[in-house]
Amino acid sequence: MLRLLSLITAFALTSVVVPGGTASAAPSQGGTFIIGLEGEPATATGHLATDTVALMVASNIFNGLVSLDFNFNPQPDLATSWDISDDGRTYTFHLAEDAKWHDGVPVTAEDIEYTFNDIIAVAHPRAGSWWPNVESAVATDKHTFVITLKAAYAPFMTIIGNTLGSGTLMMPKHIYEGTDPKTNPANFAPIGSGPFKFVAWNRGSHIELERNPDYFKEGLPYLDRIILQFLPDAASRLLAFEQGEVDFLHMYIVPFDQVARFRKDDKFRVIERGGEGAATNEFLLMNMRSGPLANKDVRHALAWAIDREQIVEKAVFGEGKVAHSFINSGLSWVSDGSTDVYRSVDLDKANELLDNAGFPRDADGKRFDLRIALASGRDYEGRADEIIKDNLAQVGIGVTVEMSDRTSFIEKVMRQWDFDLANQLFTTGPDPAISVRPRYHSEQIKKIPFVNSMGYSNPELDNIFDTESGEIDREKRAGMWRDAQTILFEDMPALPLFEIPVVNLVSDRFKDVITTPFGYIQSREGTYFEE
Amino acid sequence: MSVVEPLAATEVAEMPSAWRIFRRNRMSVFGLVLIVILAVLALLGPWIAPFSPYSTTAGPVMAPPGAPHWLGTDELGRDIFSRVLLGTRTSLLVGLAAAFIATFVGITVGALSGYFTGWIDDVIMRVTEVFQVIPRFFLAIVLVSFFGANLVNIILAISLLSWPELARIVRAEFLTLRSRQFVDAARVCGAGAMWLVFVEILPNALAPVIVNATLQVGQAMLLEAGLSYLGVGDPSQISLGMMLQQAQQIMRAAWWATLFPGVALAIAVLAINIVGDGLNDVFSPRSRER
Amino acid sequence: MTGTRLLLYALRRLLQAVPMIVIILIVNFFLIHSAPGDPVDVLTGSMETSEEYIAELRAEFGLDKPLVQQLGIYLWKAAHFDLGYSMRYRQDVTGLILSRLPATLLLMGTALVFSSFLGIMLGVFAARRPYSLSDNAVTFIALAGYSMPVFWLGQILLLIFAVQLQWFPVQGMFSLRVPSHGWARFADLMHHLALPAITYSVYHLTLIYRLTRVKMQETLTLDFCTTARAKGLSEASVVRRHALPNAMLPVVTVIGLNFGFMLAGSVLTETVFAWPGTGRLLYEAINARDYPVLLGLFTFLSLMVILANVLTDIIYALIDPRVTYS
Repeated sequence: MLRLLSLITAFALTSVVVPGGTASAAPSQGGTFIIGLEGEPATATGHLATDTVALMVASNIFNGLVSLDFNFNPQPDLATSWDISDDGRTYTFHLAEDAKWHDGVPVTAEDIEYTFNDIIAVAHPRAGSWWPNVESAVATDKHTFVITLKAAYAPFMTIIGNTLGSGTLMMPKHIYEGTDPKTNPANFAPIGSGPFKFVAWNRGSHIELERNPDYFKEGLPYLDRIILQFLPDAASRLLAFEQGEVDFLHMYIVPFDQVARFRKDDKFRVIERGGEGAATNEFLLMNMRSGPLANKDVRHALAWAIDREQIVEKAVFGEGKVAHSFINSGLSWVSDGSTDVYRSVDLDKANELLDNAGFPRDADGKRFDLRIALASGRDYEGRADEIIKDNLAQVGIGVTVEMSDRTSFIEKVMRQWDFDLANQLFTTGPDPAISVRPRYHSEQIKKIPFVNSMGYSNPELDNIFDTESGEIDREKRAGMWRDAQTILFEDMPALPLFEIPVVNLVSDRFKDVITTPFGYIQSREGTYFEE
Repeated sequence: MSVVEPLAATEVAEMPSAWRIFRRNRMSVFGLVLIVILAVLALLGPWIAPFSPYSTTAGPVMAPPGAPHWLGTDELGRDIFSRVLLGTRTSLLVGLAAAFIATFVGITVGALSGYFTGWIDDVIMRVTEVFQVIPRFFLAIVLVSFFGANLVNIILAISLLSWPELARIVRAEFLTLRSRQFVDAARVCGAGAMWLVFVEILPNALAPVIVNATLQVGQAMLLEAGLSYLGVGDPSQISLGMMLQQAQQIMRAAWWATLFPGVALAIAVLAINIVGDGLNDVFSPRSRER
Repeated sequence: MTGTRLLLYALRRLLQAVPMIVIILIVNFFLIHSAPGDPVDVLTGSMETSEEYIAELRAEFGLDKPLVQQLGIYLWKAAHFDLGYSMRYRQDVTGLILSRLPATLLLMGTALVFSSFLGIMLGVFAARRPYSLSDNAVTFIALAGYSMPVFWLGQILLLIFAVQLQWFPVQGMFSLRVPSHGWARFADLMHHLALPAITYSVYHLTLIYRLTRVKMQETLTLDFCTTARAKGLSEASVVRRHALPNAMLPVVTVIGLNFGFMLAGSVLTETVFAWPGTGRLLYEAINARDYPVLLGLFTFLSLMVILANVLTDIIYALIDPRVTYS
């Protein structure tokens, strides 16, 4: 039986290689790409998806209006071209004329209009953060779609190109019209316009997609099938990858201590890009409401005492780098590492600041105690906390790490504000206006997750936040953001610890797997198989 | 609902003959020796360990077994032998504590139920049944993951799930013993309920309790390992289960990180089970005839 | 024993189970709701959202109502076999559980048959010469199987047979890269099933082996066996015709009682081998704080345990004429 199976496998693998073709020739069609997911998605569409896994499915079935390149410039997707009015308020999109839904119905501007007004605006959890800027979104003819904004809003194209953050994958009106987009059965058997068609969802096991032969982009896609397999156990997931049963593991589920091993093995490739869009940084949040941390000098002292180089070395095994900004360096146009003044550890300075702030050492050399709230699940946060504990002990601050599971952590830190320090990952991309502003704006001091739980308020910074997004010129925006980063380092509502390593693991037999800053979730329309 | 009580025994053996019966089974003696060795290792662990179990600078990363790291090192360069010593200690502690609490609760509930009978018995038995029907491993996962993954919660969750078995055994013993002559005699002499329960009946019902409690220690250690594996163990404590959980990622690259903690756990539980089996033979009337 | 009486007995046992199920439902409900953490946070993912959206979600899943009212609604629906609607998967809980059930039942059934068969065989073998070298050896091995953490055993088997020897795949139920059909598909399934089923069997194998051995030992010394021997029957036929049927009773009970625990214990094996059954569903539901699924699984499992117990009693009654239906 074993031999039979391996024969079948061998046959299947060889049959996809073009006879006589050279390896470096144009990509050939064929191959099954198996993506390992950390869990079962909640849905297979974009409008409800808030989790990575759902978007990894949806991005292959649907198209956005535009996608983004590594410089965050828009690239054609369903819209082949677009015009932006001089006042930055009117966006006119010209759609691909031969695009069809998987059931054969042509894609028209009506669908786009419906998607924005009746699906995303109504059902997507993040719509509230940007949709209020939109005055109208209408189809002006069969293939033209116009969005008018209330005022110029610089990050707009980035937002609709960022399907992870905004759910802007275009959906068929004829399937969703007159239904509740949250419960429409098509959410589990989606019909899109994308490179792959939905075939089956085997509960608890995998989702199967097949090549869309009528895809409107000439010659694409190359792969015959995509399988997204749910592998919740980290060990068996890694084993499956090593054994060649799975071809791709995205950066958020790759164990960092194992990466070095895969770099040496030529059966695999480590792709160190594709995370620029999410631009994720690890932060140490500081509750500024009361206690020693209400004092700015104490917060500065922490920054001088914590050895971030050592954290990178031990917590993420040297794979990432120190975060020298509140904005991840993947956003190269706006991230400014020179705003970080705490370049090296300086225990003397930390001690001096603490002495002067009115927290002298007692007889045992102790100044005060702090708690760090830690959520289970990200082992690197636990390792970082061990180092922080060690570092702060040297300046007389006792640290206890309080671990709970993630939902309890959110309850404690973000709803009850019952914490001193807390570990938290924040995305800072694809545009800081949508992912940095909500963490530090004083109007975001709310008892809900992932906003300003620190209780931080600075009118000067609020003012920058409120005006910068109206500025269309990127250079000028970058200047305003430089001021914002300087203010953040001065006020220190949180200490940026390190940038999450961007390391995706892929079988060497598949090429062009990652081609956008959202590489971990992107559409695999251009991915091809090569023995 | 019928429940199997394979360990039911009726009388306690006299001490000298008990030891003789136990000794006759060579395997039990072997188990006992193993337990003593493990206990000594666990107790003396901090003094025998060649390295600090927490130190990430003990050696190179993922070094295979060999001098000076006899069981190799893990992905952070920590010495596995030192960690196994500490882990065995934690795991044994969890096992003993959980079995102790479960036994205490089990005896109390079982004694109350078996001595008083009537409606008290009815109520207690219904509650016990509910606890027996709820799949216990499921419940342990839920309890620990909801109320916090620390050692105390883990011990409490495990013991909470283990007492019903004991309660039923004790109750059954009490039901047969409470009407025996020696109890009646004591009652006639004016002994109170407490005296009857704790002095007259309980010592005579202890045999199956001891056997069961012994087996519970091993089961509790396995349960702790299972919880750790599913990610609801206490990350601040090095237990054998926690070591296994952490070793999973490097299972393929460093088999020793998975093998040795697992073997240590299996040996410890095995030794306990063998002794439990031996005790069962000691207390079972059949074996005394031979 | 008549069929009608047996049926009446079964009915009564089932009716007796109803209050228990209700109590379990209530206990589960309060237990799960007393846990810290807000399930809505899981739904919104790791991104910030508006207060209005959170309130909307709460209303959608009835989390804004008082707890007692939520319980009432839950019980009312449960009485109609409606276990609610999964917050994580936005799907009917009963359907979700049922869609995962076949995988678990296949794994469990295979393991149960395998462990019962082998366990009884070994038990009979060992009981014939108590405390002999062969008895001790088998007992020792069986005890060793009982003393290993299930997930660790699975991992070791994986390392040896899937990674080193490459005899078996490391995870899943079917080869996904090369879909097969007909007999090839069945062969593929068996190929994937082997390691998890063996892992799953070991614990129960030991349990059944030990019980069979003890009961066989006991039975073989009983009068009727001695009589049979005196009548000149060979030892083999004494075992087969007289001792074995008698020793089977408690074994049946253990299998019946273990049914529920096996179902629950599937979470470890299924996680190690990425087997898409109910055990893994539970693990995912805990991580996601999916109350309806958790409650549904609890209720469902408890129900299975109760049913298995009733069934065991009935089988017991069928095999053993001494049991009365009182």
